[in-house]
Amino acid sequence: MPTLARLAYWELLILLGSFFGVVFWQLLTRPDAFSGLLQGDRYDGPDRDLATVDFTAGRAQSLVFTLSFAVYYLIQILHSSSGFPPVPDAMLYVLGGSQATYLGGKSYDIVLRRMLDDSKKGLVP
Amino acid sequence: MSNNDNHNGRARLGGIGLWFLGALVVLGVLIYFTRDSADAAERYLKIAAGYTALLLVFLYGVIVLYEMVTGSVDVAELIGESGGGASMSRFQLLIFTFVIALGIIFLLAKDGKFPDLNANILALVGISASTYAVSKGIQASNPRMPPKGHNGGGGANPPAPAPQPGPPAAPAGPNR
Repeated sequence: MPTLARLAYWELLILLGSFFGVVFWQLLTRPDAFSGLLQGDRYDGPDRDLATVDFTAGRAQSLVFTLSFAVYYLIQILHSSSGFPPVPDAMLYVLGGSQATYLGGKSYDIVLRRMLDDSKKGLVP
Repeated sequence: MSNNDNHNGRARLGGIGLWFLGALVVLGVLIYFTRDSADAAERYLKIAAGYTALLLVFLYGVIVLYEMVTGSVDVAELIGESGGGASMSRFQLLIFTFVIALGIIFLLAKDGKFPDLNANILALVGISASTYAVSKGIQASNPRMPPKGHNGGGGANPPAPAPQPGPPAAPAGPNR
């Protein structure tokens, strides 16, 4: 079935390429799509609620590492002779550390600050 | 039922009838070409099933693409937080999905075969997917998560519109 296989090949190329193009184009042309990307939430003691902070370092470093890694790996793919190039272990460790830092900061701001505040007020048995 | 509804119903019935007729024609062609041999029948059935699956997947893809282009499917919500604004964990998951998808398209076009996905690629996607999952878990631990920008932070979502004045609601009570 060479024709069927050929059709499937072109269909996959066209659909994947179109999905990629449409999502990328729609995200870039929407001015509000990326707003709030660096904003975080932090437990606000007196109101026992969350308040928005305009900039968090955890998100900023995550953004930098994610974009750097994505660009680096895309370039590797474009220069690859065949198949996906291997991802260096060191890059994976760095990326994992970056994500752990982001998640740690987020959990501290949202969960741990509240628990510490509760323990100070004697709300935790 | 209005004239418009009647017209839509007839158009839908006509569409179903056309599909049914098409299926009958395909079945008739299959029976005609395979009347002498069971092997040929199986081969033609496989080919017909393959083309049908290709056509269905393509049509579904085109419909979803059309909805995305016309704005019926809001792509910006791909990286949107539940309370408004963009989510970093969704964004990085999207970025790595893009990188892998773009790599597959590129390597498929270059090599002509689906590329092997090694363990490190899976680790890469796993890191971003688990970051997203943990991030959702942290958020779920605080159900009172406000929309971004409620404290003057400049979030993406506008404030909710004020309720429209209207007739007063009927008081709750026994049936009248």
